[in-house]
Amino acid sequence: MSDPSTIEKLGVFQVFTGGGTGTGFLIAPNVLVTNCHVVAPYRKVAVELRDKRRIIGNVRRINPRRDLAIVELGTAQPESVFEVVASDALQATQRLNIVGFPIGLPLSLTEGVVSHPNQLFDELRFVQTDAAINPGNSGGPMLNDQKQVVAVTTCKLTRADNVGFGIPGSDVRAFIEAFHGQTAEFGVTCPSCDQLLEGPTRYCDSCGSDLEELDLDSYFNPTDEHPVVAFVESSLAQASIDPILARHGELNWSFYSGSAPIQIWSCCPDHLCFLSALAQPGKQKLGDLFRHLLAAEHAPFVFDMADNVIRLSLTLHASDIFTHPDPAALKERIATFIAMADKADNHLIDTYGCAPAPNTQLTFLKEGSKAADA
Amino acid sequence: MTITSLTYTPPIRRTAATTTLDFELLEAAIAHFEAGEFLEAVQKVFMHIVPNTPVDLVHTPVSFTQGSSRVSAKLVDGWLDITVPLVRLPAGGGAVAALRYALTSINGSGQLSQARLHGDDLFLEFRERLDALHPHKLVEVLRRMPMAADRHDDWMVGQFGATALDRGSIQPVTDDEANAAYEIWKLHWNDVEELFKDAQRKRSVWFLNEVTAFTLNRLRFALPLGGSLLPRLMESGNTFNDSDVDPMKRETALAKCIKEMKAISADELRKNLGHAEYAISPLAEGTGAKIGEFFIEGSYMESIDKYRHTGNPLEALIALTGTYYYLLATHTWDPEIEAALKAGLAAASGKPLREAANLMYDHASELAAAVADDDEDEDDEDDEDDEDEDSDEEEAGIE
Repeated sequence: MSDPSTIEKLGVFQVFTGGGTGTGFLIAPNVLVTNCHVVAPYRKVAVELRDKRRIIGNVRRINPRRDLAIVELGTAQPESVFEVVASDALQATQRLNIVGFPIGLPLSLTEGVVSHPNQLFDELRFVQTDAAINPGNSGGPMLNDQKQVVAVTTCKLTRADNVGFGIPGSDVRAFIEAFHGQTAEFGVTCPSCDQLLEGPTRYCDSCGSDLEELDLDSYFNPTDEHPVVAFVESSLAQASIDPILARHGELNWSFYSGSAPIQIWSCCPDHLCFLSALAQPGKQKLGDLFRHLLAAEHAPFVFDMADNVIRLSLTLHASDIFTHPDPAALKERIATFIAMADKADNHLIDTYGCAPAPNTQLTFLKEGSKAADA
Repeated sequence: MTITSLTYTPPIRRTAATTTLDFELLEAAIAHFEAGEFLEAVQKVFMHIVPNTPVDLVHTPVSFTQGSSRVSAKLVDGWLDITVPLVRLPAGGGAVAALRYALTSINGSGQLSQARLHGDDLFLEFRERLDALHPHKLVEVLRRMPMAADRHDDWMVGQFGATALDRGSIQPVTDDEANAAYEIWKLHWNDVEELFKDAQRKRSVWFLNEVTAFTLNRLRFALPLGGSLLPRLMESGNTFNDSDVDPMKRETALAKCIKEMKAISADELRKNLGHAEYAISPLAEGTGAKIGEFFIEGSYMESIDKYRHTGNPLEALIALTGTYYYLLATHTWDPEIEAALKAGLAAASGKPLREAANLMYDHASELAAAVADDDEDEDDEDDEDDEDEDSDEEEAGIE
C-alpha cells in the first residue's frame, strides 16, 4: 500500500460533525462504520468524498459502550468496500495498517504491529497496537496485509507512548450483522444484551438492565444547541449553505462559496471569525492592489495578508450574537461576506494579476477541468 | 571578560501614575445598554476606560492621547466612529512596503478595529451603530485599538519613511536625561554581550531564557524608549525571548540585536526617547499575588536556590534581577512595593555575584512573604484537583 493512489482508492472517508472529525470506512457501497464518539449525539453527519464534496450521512445505529456506529450514505460510493474479519487469529507482532485522517490531514496510513491481540482494558477486550494513532483516526480501519479490517481504531492512552486500541473485528462483525436486520431509522444498542433500543427508556425491555448511566435521552433528544451554533447555522441556511455539510468540529465550520474557501470559527469566547483565503499577490501592480485591499469602502469586511495569501475576514463580537438589535441584518452581513468572498478572488485574479490561493476550490476546479479536457 | 557584578541605575523613565478603574461605571454602562439607553452606555464606558478625559459625546468628540497616538471618537447619525490616524504614506517604494505592513501586521482576523486607507492617509478605524455597541465590545476596542496604533505608527515612520499624522505630544528628555540614558544603554549592551557569551558557553536553555528576559526588561524599566527603536527591539525580542523558538535561532537573533543596538549613537538614542502620555495605562496592575507568583517557594525559586548553592550564582542573580525588572517595567505598583523592588536591585548593585545572588534571594523571599496574599493556597488546591482529574482521564477518545 505504499503507492498513494492505492490508498486513495480505499473506501475510507473523513466524517465531520459539530463535535469534531473522525474517520469512517465502507462496509457496503453506501454504508460506513465509524466510532460512536465520532458521530454522537448527531443524527446527521457530513462525509467528505475524495473530490472534496461533502454529502450527508444518516446515523442509523450506535453502540456507545463498544464505541461503534453505522452511517448510511445517500449514494453508493465507487471506492473499495472492506471485509471485516474476526480478530481471533491475530498474533502479537503481526503487522497492522491504520488508515485515517490524523489531525485532519489528508488520508494517511500508519504502520505498526499488534502489541496484544486481546487486551483487557476497562472491562472490554481490545486489539492493542503500537501504531501511531492521532485525533482524527477514530473510527478508521485497522487492516491486515490482506486489506481486511481486523479492528476499528478507537482510542489510545495519552500518558503512554505507542499504546493504541482497536475494537476487535469479531465485535464489529456482530454489530454489522445486527444492523442488517434493522428497520428502525435509528437505534442505540443495549450495553448488556445488544438489543436495539428505539427510544429513551430507563430499563432495557429485553434484559431489564438499568440504562440510567447510558443517558439515552442524549442520543434520542440531543440538548439544545449552543447559541453561537444556532446563530451561525441559521445564518448559513439563510445564505443557502447547508449547515450540516459545513460543520467542522466544535464551533467550527468550513465550506466553499463558489471558488472561495470559507472558514468560520470561534477563536476565543469573545469573537466569531469569518475568513476566506482568496489569492496570492502577483508581481505587478502591487501598490494598486494593496491600496484596493485597504480601501475604506470594504468595511465592515477587511482584507489582510498572512503567509503571502490575501484573505477577507469579518469578526463579530460575542455581544453581537446575543444583543444585536437587528439579527436579520447581522445574518445578512454574513451572507454578504460569503458572496463577497466568492467574487473577490476572481476580481483579484482578473484585475490585479493575483494567483489563486493554494488549495482553493478554484485551483481544484481548474485542475479538474484540465483533467477532463485531457 | 565575564560578568562579575550587575549595576543598578535609577530609571529615567517616569513612573506611570496608577489609575484605578471604576468598574461600577462599567456595570452602569451595561445597565444603560440593557435599558436601551445606548448613548449613556457609551459615555459610561469612556468614563470607565479613560477616567481623566472629559466625555460629552453629544457636543464634542472624545479625544485622548495614547503614547504617540491620538484617539478620537465621535457620534455620526447614531453610529460611533473611533479613529486613530497612523501615517501618511511616503512617496515611492516605501509606500508599497508600508501598505504591505498594514495588511500583514496591523489587519487580521479576530480584531474589531482595522487599518483603512483614505487617500494617502492610513487610519485605524472602528465604526458601529450605538444600539449594537455592547459595553464589553466598546471596552475591547478602547483597550486594544490605541495600544495597537501606538505600536505601529512609529514603526512605519522609522522603517518606511512615512509621515506621522496628528501625533500625541511626547515630552523630550532633558540633556542630563539623554546623557544618563546613553550611559545606561552602553552599560546594558556591554552586560548583555558578556551574558550572551556565558549563555553560549553554558548551553542552558534556562539561563538563555533568563538572559533574554533581562535584555528586554532592564531597558524597558530604565528608559522611556519609543520611536522606531522600541518596536525594533521588541521585534527582535519576539524571537530571542521566545522559549518556543529553537535556541540556536534565538542566539542568532540576540547576537544580531546586540550588534545593532551597540551601534546606536547617542543622538539616535535621544531621538527615540521621550516621556509619553497614556490615557489608558499600558501597564498591568501589580498585586501581591503577582509577586508571590514568582517568589513564593515553588519550582522557580527552587531552581534559583539550587543554582546559588551549586556554584552558579550568575544564574540565580540574572533570574532574580531580570524578574525584578520585569515586574517594574510591566506593572504599576503601590509606591511602597515599587520602592522595595528598586531597593532590592540597588542593594545588589555592584556586589560580587554570590553575595548579590544571596542578597536578592533573601530580599525576594521576604518581599513575597510580606505582600503576597493567600491566592497561592487556593491555586494549590486547584492544582491538586486538576491532577486528580487528569489521573482519571488516561483513556482519551481521539476523534
